[in-house]
Amino acid sequence: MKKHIFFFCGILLAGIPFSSCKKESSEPAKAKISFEFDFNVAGDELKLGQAYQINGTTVSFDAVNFYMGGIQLTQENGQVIDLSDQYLLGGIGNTATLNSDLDVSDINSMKFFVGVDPVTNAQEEIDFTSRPPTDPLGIQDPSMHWSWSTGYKFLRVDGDVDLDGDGILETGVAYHLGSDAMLKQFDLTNPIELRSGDNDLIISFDLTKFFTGVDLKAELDTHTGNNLPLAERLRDNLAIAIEVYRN
Amino acid sequence: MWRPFGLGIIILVMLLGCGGDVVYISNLPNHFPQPTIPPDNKLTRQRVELGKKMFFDKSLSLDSTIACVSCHHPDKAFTDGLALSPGIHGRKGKRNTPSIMNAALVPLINKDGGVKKLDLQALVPIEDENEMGISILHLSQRLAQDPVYVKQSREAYGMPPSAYVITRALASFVRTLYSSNSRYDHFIQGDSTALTSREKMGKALFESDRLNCTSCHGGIQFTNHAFENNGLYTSYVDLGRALITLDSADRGKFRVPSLRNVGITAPYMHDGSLANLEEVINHYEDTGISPKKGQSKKIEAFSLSSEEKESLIAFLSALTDEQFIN
Ligand code: HEC
Ligand code: HEC
Repeated sequence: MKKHIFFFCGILLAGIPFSSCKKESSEPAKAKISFEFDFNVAGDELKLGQAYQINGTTVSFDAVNFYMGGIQLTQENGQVIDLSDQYLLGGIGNTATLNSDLDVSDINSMKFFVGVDPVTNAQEEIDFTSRPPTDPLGIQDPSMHWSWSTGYKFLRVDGDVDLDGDGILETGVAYHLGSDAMLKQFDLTNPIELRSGDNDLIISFDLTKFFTGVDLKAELDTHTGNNLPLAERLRDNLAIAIEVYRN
Repeated sequence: MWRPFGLGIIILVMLLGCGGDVVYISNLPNHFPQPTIPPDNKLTRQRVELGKKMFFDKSLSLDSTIACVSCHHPDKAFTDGLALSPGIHGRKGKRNTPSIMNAALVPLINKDGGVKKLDLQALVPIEDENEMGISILHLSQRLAQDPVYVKQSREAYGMPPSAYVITRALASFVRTLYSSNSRYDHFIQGDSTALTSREKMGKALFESDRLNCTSCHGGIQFTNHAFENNGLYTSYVDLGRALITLDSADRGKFRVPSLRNVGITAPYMHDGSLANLEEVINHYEDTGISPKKGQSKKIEAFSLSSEEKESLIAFLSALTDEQFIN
């Protein structure tokens, strides 16, 4: 088995709005989509606490998460599956099921972003403390909200590195991206076949690609504002670190 | 025992409302603004009392050693007299503890304005590993084990302790910490004897175009709430407002603090680097004459005689609200 997927209490995306579907007398075959996050280090499944080599540094991770929102899938038949009012919390083995009847028609393009839209992120009326624990935008453990800068951590990768090469991972590292400027848009046009029945869309996040060009011995943290250039590089690396494909 | 309520900082008028007794801050002089209260967190007696209990409670920190009051002492206008305050495990914070009197009137909270509403401010010290160092989820679970907190929390918010309850209750208590009763306040309300002649000289200097202090520290709160670089450093370790806006032009900008009670809130500036008011005035004098890169143009070049300095300090010290520090 190349990729293990741990199923973990999924976030249920209840009935998507679906405009032009009329019930026909002979029910055609329908498709269902689930999203599964595959967090990995160069293809090896990510395990928290396990040591990996990235860019010549030994590193282990204790929290890796990001928000994914604004999801819109366009099918071959022109149908748009609009999930843009839903957020997924990407995490090791997290899954989310899209519980709806979709026409069997390939997906031609997929738009989404990593992050949280500016209105939600502003936390003006509703904020993370007033959302129920079942809401991915509610308070998470490990936390995905910032306290000192009202808003969400769009992405967090925390861990420890071995700076002196003695085999002990003694130094904490933290890469937290947030603020509107850190929103990373994706507009993928690789066609994805949609068959009748269950379809698992894998959202793969490769930490080696995420850290492309980053020296984990010297660039130990960014909380976005305190090291904006590093935050921008990591945000831009998301374009190669995240891939979506069919299982 | 701390008794901020027994000190007459405010007088609470209670009216019976649904979900608790709605309280109003009633002894505000006419020249003082009323705070805006968010609709989902009306000030009620139950909420203020719950917040007050939390404010003084060390079990709000990871190892139960630090309470809000550890850094915000009522007798120092809710500061602690230190440049940087120790949090749990003796760790040092990164900024000087400000007064939280009149925090209800501040539009963007904290020195960099990173916190958009007072109702979310308490998360900062609670979750900061250098301050109270506990996750809000963990703290909610802890307080939910305490029958007294559960009872009070239900009375105040109709639910057991949660992140929502903790942040809202603390904000409710902070909203009652009003200071509007200095000799300066008496003076502007018509008591011309409330200030000494030296203090009046200081007032004239403070308000003069020559010093231009009021271009930033103007109005009844002695602040325009703007973010400004007051020339403390050429290169700032703490980037200030830029941490939030991500705009390099905002480096070294901090929220203009109110100068109310400034006579008892030393040391000064975001990092507590200036020990007393004389050092502050010397700083403005020096940096006005040889401005630093990025420094606000509002800082004028001036030099003061030692007598003028004394007058200015005397005036700043007349902004102390004696009523609650006794
Ligand atoms: C370890 C010391 C420490 C503790 C404990 C602490 N504070 Fe503070 N407080 C500070 C510092 C330092 C700041 C300034 C933070 C900044 O500007 O980034 C601050 C800022 C504030 C402000 C904002 C003031 C303004 O004008 O922006 C409020 C309100 C406040 N604290 C309330 C509280 C409450 C409520 C608690 C308890 C939950 C608390 N503090 C615990 C040190 C502390
Ligand atoms: C350009 C706007 C500006 C002008 C003009 C200005 N200040 Fe300030 N002042 C600030 C800012 C911003 C801070 C906070 C800086 C920090 O936190 O590091 C401050 C801090 C202070 C403090 C310390 C308050 C505290 O609680 O730490 C005092 C006292 C003070 N100013 C007095 C004055 C006096 C007196 C003048 C006139 C000579 C003056 N200021 C002119 C912006 C200004």
